[in-house]
Amino acid sequence: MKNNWDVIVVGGGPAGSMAAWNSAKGGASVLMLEKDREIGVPVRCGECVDNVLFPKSIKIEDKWIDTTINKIEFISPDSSNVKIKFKNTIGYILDRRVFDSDLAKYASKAGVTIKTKAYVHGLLVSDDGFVNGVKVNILGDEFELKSKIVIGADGVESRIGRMAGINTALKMEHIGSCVQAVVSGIDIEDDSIKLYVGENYVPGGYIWVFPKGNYSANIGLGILGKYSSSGKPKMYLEKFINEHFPNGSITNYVAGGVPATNFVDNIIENGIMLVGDAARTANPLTGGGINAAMHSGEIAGTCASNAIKSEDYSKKFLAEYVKIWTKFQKKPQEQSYRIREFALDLTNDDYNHIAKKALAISEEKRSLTKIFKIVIWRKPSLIFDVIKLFAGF
Amino acid sequence: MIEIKKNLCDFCGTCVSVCPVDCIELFEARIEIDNEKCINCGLCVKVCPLGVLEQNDEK
Repeated sequence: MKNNWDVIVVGGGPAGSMAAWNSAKGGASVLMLEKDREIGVPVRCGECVDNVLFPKSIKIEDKWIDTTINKIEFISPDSSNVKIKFKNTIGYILDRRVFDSDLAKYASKAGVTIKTKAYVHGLLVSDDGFVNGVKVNILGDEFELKSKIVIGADGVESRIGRMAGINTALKMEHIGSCVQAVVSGIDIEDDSIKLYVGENYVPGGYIWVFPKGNYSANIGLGILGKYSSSGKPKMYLEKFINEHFPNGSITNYVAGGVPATNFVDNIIENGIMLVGDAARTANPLTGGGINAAMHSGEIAGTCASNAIKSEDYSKKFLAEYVKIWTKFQKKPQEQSYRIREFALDLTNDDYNHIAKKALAISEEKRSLTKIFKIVIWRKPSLIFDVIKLFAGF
Repeated sequence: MIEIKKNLCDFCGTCVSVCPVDCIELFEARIEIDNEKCINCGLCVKVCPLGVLEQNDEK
């Protein structure tokens, strides 16, 4: 294997593959390193993705899609089910195992070299403070590999950034502590996602039920760190599944952490860029992170290839990535964060009240806009954010 | 110090993301805490989704 690369990407999830792929498209020599044995496994994700926000550069393939969603059901603490039907598709539940693997294969076809079981445990740094390579263990052998740019796509842990002096440590109000089970042998609608809200289901978070097809679903929950305690997510999920799906079989069980921060722009240094969960790009309200991670990877990859062409790997040059990313993501992420903070103050009574009012609207006329109106009536402090949401500024 | 119930761990990295002194190392299926660097703050214990970590009073 070569020991000199233009770009080394650490992490082979969607952010990493997009960064690697777009760097290679721009002519850079690219190595992508994945610590696990297989790209796409284990799936630490609810796998729900908005179809409108999906990167336009990629055509969604049928084999990536488990189910197509056109309904959302909110279930309130008193078990009222507020269903909202949409005229068009609003998203998909993906098969991340196939999807992540295919993205990596696209990158590979564009010239990216990929190694799995490749654990990066340190960075190489030049005398003038530029990150210029990685220390990596690949299948048991140690290597020091040189690069012009390192892209940290190492997920929620974000240790690559820390090694480069970027403080990525998450505060307790900025981490979702999550567990998810794939529950099989259950009878659920395959075109509807269910969200259970209220502290009797889970305090400081929510429960999701995402249909996977074949009588199965991703059923999971997240609790913000400051409301959680050791093993609490596991305990609440067990209780929920026992009460709601007592006859289901658990065919997969994973834990995971989801960054739930406000917009972060401290994501570059000389010779290094962070993307995806490592750059805290996930939506702090929903915890969804696939689209944002891919967009950040795409932008960073393009910027990396430009840097290689210009032979300038300085923080000043890489700031182009932050500039474009800020324009794309800052407002929506800040807005999601404010709504998240607001939602944390809602009580069981608030949710029950909102559900009751929403159910008074006939199903044909019920919409997210109308439910927002009810929420504002209940909590006028939200009005500023809702106006901004619909006015689009 | 922090003790790890190794057979329970799912290697998800949630603990790593909140560690203020970056003393937790996570491999594909192995987790190690550097007790020299650990300040026994307990954030990793609180945030672990599965309850894998336990805090002892003694450092």
